Amino acid sequence: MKKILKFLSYIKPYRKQAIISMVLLVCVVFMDLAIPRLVQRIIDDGVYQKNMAIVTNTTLIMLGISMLSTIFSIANNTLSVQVGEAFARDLREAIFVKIQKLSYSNLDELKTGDLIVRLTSDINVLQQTYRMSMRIGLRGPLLIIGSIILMFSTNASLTLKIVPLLVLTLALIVLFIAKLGPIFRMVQEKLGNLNNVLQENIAGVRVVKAFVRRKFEEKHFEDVNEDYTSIHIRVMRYISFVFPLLMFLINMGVLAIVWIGGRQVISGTLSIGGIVAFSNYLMTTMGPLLIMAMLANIVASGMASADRIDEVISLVPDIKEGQGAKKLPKTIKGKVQFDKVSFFYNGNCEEKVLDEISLTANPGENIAILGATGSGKTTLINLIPRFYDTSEGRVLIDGQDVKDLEQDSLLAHIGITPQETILFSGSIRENICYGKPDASKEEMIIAAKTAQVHDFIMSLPEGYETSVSARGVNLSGGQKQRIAIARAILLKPEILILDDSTSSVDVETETKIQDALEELIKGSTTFVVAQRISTVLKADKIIVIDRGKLAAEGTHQELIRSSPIYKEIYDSQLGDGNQLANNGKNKQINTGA
Amino acid sequence: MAEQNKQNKRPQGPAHGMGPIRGVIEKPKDVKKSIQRTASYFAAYKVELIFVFFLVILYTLAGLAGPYLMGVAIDGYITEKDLPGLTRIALIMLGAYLLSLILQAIANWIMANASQKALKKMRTDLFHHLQFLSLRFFDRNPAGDLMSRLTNDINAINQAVSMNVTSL
Ligand SMILES: Nc1ncnc2c1ncn2[C@@H]1O[C@H](COP(=O)(O)OP(=O)(O)O)[C@@H](O)[C@H]1O
Ligand SMILES: [Mg+2]
Repeated sequence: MKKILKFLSYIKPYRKQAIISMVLLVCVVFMDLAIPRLVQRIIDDGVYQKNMAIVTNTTLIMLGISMLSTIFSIANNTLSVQVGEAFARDLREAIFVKIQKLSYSNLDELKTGDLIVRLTSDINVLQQTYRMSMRIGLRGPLLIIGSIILMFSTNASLTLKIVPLLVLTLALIVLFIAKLGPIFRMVQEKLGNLNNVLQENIAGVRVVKAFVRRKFEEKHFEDVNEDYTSIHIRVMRYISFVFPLLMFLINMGVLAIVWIGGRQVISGTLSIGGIVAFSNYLMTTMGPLLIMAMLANIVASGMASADRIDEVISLVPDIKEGQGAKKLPKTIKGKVQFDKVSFFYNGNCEEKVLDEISLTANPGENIAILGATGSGKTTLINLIPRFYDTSEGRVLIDGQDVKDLEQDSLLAHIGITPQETILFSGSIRENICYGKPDASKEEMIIAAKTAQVHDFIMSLPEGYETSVSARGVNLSGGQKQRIAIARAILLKPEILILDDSTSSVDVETETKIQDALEELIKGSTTFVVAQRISTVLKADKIIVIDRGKLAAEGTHQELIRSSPIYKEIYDSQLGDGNQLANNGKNKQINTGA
Repeated sequence: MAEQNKQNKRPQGPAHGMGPIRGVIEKPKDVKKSIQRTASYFAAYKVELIFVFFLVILYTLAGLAGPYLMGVAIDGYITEKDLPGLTRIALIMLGAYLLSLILQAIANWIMANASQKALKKMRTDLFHHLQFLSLRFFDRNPAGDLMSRLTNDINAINQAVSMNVTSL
């Protein structure tokens, strides 16, 4: 419940509409309450006194009030829908912004499918909760209290006999909310699981097909589907009992009026019109109670969804700028140091992914990183832009700990092509200029030429305006990678990181990219994670990572002599090493690294 | 997700790179066919549905008996000052209401099971169908779009069916 109130703050900007809508509602309630009184007047003063004028007059008044009440209800409804939609839009945006602020390790723990449920279904539920509350949440209690007062003034002793019934109904509703709340949470959780499987299968459809895993995935889906269905059936069973039960309680009230009130009429303490008005009041009391039960159902689900939304909203990005974080100057030298850096992923303390790594990259140096898959190369370079915080040790840029720097000013000096190439839907131009939307055409073309992708782009009918579909499915792996490289070098960063970003590019083109890069960004410190040894030959420094440890460090010439592990990699890829010692380029390369 | 692009130094429009969340209600291309297809899922529960149908008629009648009996009570017994008669008719009303309660609960219960199972079958078939679509289809339809379509639609059908069970 607290969470539901917490999100009320998102309604604040639409306070005016919300208040008007409430005021209209109060008017509607008063008008609704007037109706039974008027009916009583028709029966007692009109029909029984045979006074036709009163009947017509009162009927006309009733008609007018009903019409006005309908119009007000519609206005109230329209306004509450508007407020609800605006609220949902703002909240979605807040979550989106929040997700953008999260760190890699936060994101590791969120699942896309579940996140989508939180962003869509949960927000819808919460929106519905507010909208329905605005429409009936106020009306219900007002109507109930109002008609109890009116009943009391009509016949106090009869009212008192019905009170236990009201209390019973209320108790039932409260119980209903308490029971249903946790189940609704489970419903949303199961829906999250369902969507995770769905999401994974849609995103990974190519893999599922390639490995003929359809049957397996269908079984997987069947399991989560069954979970979701059975929890849903549990909810429905509750509802299928509670509503008839509430109906029954209302009917018991009518019965009580007929029986107890009938005896009063017989003994002459109540009029027939009184009985009719009384049962009308009871209906106006119990009717809202029934609607309140429906609202209870919605509130219970709203509570569950509010919790789930709050879990995302209140996630604390675990990479935070400290108080007084320093800004890096406009230009930096680009010296990168690792000082006894150890690292393990979320809570998994036994397994060190990086183990006491110390190394220095001087400004302008070209550092090549080699190592088996899973040895920790990506992890290592992800520490430079502080995508993750080190578990022990420090990462220093120009002598300053990255933890002491303003995140944006740090990132402004780093260009990175992640191992997994991600392009956005939009034109090729938009993708290349993603980090610098105001880049000039020349800048863009130089970046594209350096990445050896300009000629390809120009061969397309629409050139740079060719649209890339989501995730770049209409481009080859190598084309995507080269666009991603162009995107990174367009920024002319002082520190450039290429994480295995030429793995799908042929060797010849790769060499061209390297040569062009050398020209373009002479002063930049570059980290190149590579699979092919041919890529690393000219590096100023080669680093070999083996199971998280720094296994070797030096130039090619040094390592080929001193490091057995380097020699092993070298031999496995280039065969007998002597061939190549003074011949920079080599074409007969085993690319299956 | 983990490899999310962080090069973006200038915050761009928040909608960038995310599947569109559409609030627009699309009209089904062929209403008749859509209804038929949806109905076919419930056809598997014919027996249950027919049973529920009779229950609904019965409890509606029992429910209608209430106001009718109330009229009888007022005109026939209260105005006639017939106390034993009033008690008798009150008991009959109690019976009618109880009957209505029980029948309604049973009908709802059966409907809840049947409709949720039909929906489950619908989701299973949908997933099965997805597995057989060509890669060309997945190239044309961005994953985000498909996801929002599927989740929203599953949700919408769910809500429609759940609502109608209680207000049959
Ligand atoms: N996000 C993550 N969460 C948990 N473990 C991870 C994560 N990313 C990588 N790992 C683990 O860390 C180790 C090193 O991974 P990585 O740095 O990606 O290797 P490389 O890039 O050298 O292939 C692997 O054992 C991998 O399983
Ligand atoms: Mg890697």
